[in-house]
Amino acid sequence: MNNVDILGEEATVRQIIEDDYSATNGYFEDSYATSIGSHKFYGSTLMVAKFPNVTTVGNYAFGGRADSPWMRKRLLPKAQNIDSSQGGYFLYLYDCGMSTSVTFWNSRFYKLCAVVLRSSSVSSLGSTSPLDRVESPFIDPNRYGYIYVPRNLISSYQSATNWATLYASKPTLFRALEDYTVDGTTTGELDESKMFVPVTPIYTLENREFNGTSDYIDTEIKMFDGNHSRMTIILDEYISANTGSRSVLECFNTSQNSGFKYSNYNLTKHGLRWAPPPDTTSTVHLNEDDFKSGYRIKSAFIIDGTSLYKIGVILNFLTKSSFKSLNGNADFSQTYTRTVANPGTIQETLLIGCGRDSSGNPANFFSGRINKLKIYDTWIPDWQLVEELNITPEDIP
Amino acid sequence: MIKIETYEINGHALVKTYSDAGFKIKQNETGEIYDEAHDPADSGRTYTETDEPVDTSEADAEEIVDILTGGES
Repeated sequence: MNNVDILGEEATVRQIIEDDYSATNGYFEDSYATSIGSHKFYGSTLMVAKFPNVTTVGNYAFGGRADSPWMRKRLLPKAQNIDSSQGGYFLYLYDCGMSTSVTFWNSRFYKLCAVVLRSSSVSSLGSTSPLDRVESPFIDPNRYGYIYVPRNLISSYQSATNWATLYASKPTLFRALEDYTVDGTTTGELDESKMFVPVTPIYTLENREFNGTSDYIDTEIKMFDGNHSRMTIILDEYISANTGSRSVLECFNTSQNSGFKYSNYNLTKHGLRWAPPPDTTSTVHLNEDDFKSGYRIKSAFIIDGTSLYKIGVILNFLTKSSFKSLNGNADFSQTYTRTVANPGTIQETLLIGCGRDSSGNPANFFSGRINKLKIYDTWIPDWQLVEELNITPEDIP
Repeated sequence: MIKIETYEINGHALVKTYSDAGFKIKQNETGEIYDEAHDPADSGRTYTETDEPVDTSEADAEEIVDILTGGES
């Protein structure tokens, strides 16, 4: 094996990444490299980075939280020293290899939910943050968030500094790595089909045009009847010329004062409104300055409806700046979240492509195309959310 | 100065150790450095304050770049 610096003097970052991206859809693997220097992939468009023999990763090699926002998987199975400056908005799988100490910067991981630590001794955790943030999958027993470690170290991890407090919140936090590699060893290739088992949606719609005058679909799903503890909606839409207020998704009651509405208005605003009683006034307009005709928009909505309703937009972006502004504070459902008591009173069903007027008849028809709509009767794992949204560099002008 | 706080999660007694001056701390038994440390209450681990600040400089630098470039970095 050659000791090759990933991107040497003879090549620029952009050349290699763009060539690779066009050929492999963002997948990059280099088996020769043993180190990755500072800032080598800063600002890259890579979505999956695999370096089977890299042992050292330098400062900002993959950028901070937004510098390489597309990266979903970073696979460094033999890494021993990874500078802690690395981040990634959509990074959900991080194979830290043989690292004996790890630190995850607080503001740089929004979707991280699978960490692999292969060292034969316990890897020290420099800080519990952000793994212990509010609603983190690493402390919520009901969400996908796992640390994959050698089986014989699990009990040691459970009592190790900083890992111990995460384990106290989530008894299932640590998984035996050997159960999730192809060859059953701690050094083997990850078996992602075992690691990531997708949740099945309760409703799916793909490639459906809506004419803006009469087309709509009644999903017959009662979002707010009190029977849905958690829901996820993945939406990929393309908006045609609309005038007035047009509902893309709506589950409001006929008196128009309670429920959920996701709409666009005169191609200048994208409205998100949710108002289970007694709150009847909350409306958020998204991306007013950036909304343009013909834009493709991808969004994810998270609903918690057991005893309190929370609806959060995780992603909705038209330009890189708006994407970043929304995600800058998007610690899951915090940016666009409203919590309201006394739920369970809305019996209307979720409509696609229109809303309801005061008589309960379809109104405010949407003009455009829904490329994909998936509705889940739970919060789907962060890794699945990233894959379903399938954010690529082409999505952002 | 080293500060110690005890707390409990799901019946697990835990101890949080940190520097009230914002410095990293060193575990005396292993020499490992932490921003702050959470241990089982019966672990017996002890810590010493270092003179190295808990590092936020790189994150701050990135924030500044975002601001200067309008988030296009």
